[in-house]
Amino acid sequence: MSRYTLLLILAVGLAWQSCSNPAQIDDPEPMLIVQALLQPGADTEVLIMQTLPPQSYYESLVDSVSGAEVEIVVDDQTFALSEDAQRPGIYRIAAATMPVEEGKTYELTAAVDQRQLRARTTVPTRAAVTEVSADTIVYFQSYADLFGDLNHPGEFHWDQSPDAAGYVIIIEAVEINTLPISIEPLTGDLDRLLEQRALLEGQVSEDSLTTLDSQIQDLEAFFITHLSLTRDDGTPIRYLRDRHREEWEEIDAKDWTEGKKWRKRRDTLFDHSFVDFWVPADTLRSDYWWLGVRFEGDYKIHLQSVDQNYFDYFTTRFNGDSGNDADTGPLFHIDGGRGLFGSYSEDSFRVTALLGEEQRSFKITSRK
Amino acid sequence: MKAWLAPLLLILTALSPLHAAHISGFVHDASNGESLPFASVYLHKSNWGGTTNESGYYAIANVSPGTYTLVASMIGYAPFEKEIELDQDDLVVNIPLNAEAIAVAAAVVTAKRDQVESFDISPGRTVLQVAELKTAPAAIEADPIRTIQTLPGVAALSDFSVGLYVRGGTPDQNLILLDGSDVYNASHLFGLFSTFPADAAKSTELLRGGYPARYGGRLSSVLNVITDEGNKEEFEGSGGASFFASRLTLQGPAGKGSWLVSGRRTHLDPLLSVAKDALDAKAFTYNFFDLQGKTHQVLSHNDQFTLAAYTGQDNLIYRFDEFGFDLEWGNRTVSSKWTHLFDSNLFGNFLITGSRFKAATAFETEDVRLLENNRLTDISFKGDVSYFPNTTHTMEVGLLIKRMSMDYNFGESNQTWVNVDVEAFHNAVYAQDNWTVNRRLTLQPGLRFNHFSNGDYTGFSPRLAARYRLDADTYLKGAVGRYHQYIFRLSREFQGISLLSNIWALADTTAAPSASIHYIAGIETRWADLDIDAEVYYKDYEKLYEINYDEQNSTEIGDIIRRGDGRAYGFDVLIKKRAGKHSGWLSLSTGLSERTIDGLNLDDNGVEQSFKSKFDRSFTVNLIHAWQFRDKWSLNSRTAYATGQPYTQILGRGEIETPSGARFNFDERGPLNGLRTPSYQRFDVALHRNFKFKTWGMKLSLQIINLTNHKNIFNYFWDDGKPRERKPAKRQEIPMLPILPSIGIDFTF
Repeated sequence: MSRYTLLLILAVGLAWQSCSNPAQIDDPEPMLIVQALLQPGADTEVLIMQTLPPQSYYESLVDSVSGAEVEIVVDDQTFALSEDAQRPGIYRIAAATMPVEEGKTYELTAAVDQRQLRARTTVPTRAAVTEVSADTIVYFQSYADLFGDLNHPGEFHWDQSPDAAGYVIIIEAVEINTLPISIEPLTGDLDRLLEQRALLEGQVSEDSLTTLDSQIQDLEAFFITHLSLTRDDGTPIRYLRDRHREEWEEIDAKDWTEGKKWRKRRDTLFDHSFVDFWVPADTLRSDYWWLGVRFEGDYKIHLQSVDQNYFDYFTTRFNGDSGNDADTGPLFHIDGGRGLFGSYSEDSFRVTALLGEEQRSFKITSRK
Repeated sequence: MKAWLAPLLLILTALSPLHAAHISGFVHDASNGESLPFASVYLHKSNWGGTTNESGYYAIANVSPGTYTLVASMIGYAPFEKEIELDQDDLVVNIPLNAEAIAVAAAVVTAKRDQVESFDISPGRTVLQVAELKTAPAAIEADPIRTIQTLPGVAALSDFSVGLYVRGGTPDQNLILLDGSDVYNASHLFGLFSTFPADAAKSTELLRGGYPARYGGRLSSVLNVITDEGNKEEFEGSGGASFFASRLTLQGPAGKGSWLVSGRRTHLDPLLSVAKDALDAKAFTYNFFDLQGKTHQVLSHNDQFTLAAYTGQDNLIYRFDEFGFDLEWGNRTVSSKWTHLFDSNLFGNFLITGSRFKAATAFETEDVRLLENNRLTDISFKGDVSYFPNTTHTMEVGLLIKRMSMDYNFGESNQTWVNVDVEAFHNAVYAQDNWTVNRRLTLQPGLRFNHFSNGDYTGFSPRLAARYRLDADTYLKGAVGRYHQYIFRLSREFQGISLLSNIWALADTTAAPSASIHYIAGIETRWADLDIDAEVYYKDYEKLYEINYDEQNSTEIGDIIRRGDGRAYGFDVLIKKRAGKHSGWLSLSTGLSERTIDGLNLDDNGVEQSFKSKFDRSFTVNLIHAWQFRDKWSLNSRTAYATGQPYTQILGRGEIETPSGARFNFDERGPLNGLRTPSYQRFDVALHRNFKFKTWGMKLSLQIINLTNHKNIFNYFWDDGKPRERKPAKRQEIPMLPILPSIGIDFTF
């Protein structure tokens, strides 16, 4: 055998073995998903869903699973949760029936068809806020150009929770009326109804448009009620930054459809209405930043002492997009499924943000 | 002579024939005095000789008195032959080689081919000279790394990455040396360009595996870039410009040697200024530069001294209404090398090198300035001594003392949230021998011993390479070796592009070093005027690592990485035509790279399953062709084909809402990298026209990357659909480079 023949055989052999045919998985079985966070003093609500094929999914669409048997075991007692008749896929139990208590372990089982998921959480002890540096903070327009040179408006401290895996902090503009992304399809509905009306106008009698008009009015009323820079008592809420106010006002002037305008308002208000972040278990202080304060008015700052499941999910919730082999997505602790079954205990306090009337060009000093 | 060498020499010279003498000297370019590493020097009709070392030095020791023909040869140069009369006195023959015109060189090379001995023992070794480094058409800028990516066994992750994936290894597993200094992050512009401008690179040696004991500290390969020393005869300048960047290299005689300064800088600034206005940004600038300098002094025949330094940095500033970020990252290296001839058959090479990689990232808004700083510093002493006791042995011993420190901190401007500051010493000693057992068999046994202070790890790395001559043109080659790596690269890539700079971490008590064993067997032969290399290889990896994306809280390296094992095997062929009107190479690779990592690719029972690496390519072929079709015209091309790279199928999607009301979707994934993208195909061409402008030599180049505009897919992702229309998600493709023409001009004076 010549050396060239040998080389050829080796090449063909290796090429053949290395060209494995990968197998595509068609019609995979949906995976059960659970979403529930237990909190002392609150009723327990468990949402059971399942994954959608990617070609059927759009953002905010969830495939709720109705008819599941959902049970929680605590202290050897089993509690069956009842499905909400109005909202399929949501299973509830009142706090009076199954109280959630710190230090206790809750084991969830959800079964539907031949599928079953299991998870457990131990409710952490609440960390109490011990010190808040300022309950009123004032913003001046000159701060906008400081790019990191501005001091934080405040900080707060707490006692350590002995058993929390970490802390989640939410800075929430409590007076802002906004809506989750799940209402976005309604903005498209509004556009379609308006288009339909424009097409029919002049072609049919005004009476025939009554139903359409009514649907349009209902949708617009819903958006006006829930997406506004107005407090519940009707007083207006101001953006702290002129730039944000101008952007908000520009939405009206844009040549966009009504639906898109509401969509933009929702995106803007929702994104500006809160900031959430995590800190590790051995940290006992945090700042609150101007980054999370966009409006004049009241802010609620939540300090959540969270269990391992909640902490692991929260810290990895952005995973999955890097394209790296090892980036497989968020970390779940669910047997037989995906999702979040965790718990937290919360303390909170309020801060009021005001808009300074005078322009100032100097930095504010630390409020410690 | 140093006292400590005496016992060694006494033993070894006892084996030497009586009344013998040494032939030694330096090989250099006749036109500019540049030393020529890796040239073959031997006595005609014998197998006595070898290749010059990195300083261009050769020695043929203990040759019996007589008349010989000393031959030196190197591709691109006319062979040198000289009758020498050897008596009992040592003979010093410094050899000037004359560069030949391509056509002439081809004829000579072909004619002399049967006389040229190959002394290359290591399988998987390819040396590319400066002209070859520029053979492949370039995407805007000539880049040695892009050329190396066309060699067999070397894969690129994408068109956007200069990372070298060598025979199943990742870029961090390559020991990259620039004039002896370790380079840790060899890329600019998020991985698009390498830090090595082609102008100042004299030669590049790639060892794809089974490399000898003198190298260590990496699992996969060695890329040894040697830059020009500088023209010792006259002042010379060269450079080039494209729309993207300009380059300039100046060199000339100085003192008893030469100096060289070479620089490159992007000039996109005016373009970005326009973009800044269009984006309504407050600031938008990006640039990178490389600057290197070198002086080489020939103090005497016995002593040479080289001082070299390199600095390169990327700078990106982007600020708009509310946010701004500022990224800068870069390398600095400095090396001083002293080569000393203790005796004509005892060559010493001593380096003190410093290398620093630094990356700083700032994210700013009104009251938040997030700062991340990462600095890896490496200060090393490397010393090796080559001893040529007789015509059958070339022995080498060496020592490495390396102090590495890694400093990482992240936090705000007035408080640090994460601070990691570690240092470690990596010390190693090695010994190896090139032993010509007989006319057919040459062995290269070696042993390297490593000690890493962080975690007190020790590792023996035995190496063995062998070459067996079947006939004048054909050799069987083999190598086996064990390798250790004590540092980890935490790459932060987004879809293959390094948006943030990599972070390097050191092994410690929580994270044991990685190891690998290489097995390589091959055949090297010649047919007509083609050099043919074919090799099979198997690499067994232990304690490989991947980033543990689940861990966001710990600063322990043992928590931040997942561990596992891997293997790679394959078959590589390189057919090379090095001279003539048509030159270039055809490379073929087929193989597999897979790994099994804790916590990844779990089956239904939660057990890890092996998966193909993202860079695994079943089959790759590259044809690099340079055609000098007129006296002043040449047409270069690259034709590439590769099987698609693995990706992971998305089986389903779900959403989770957190208490703030924010919703996050996640993907349910199929087997990790279980599917492949369509095949990769690319055809690049470059048309060059040489002409004179007064006394300047000019070369105008038109280059077109991906001439057929073939859509090569890097990866897929599913978009979020259109909720407002209740329209579901679509699978989107992440494409690589489309057709990309560029024009550039090079000059010499």
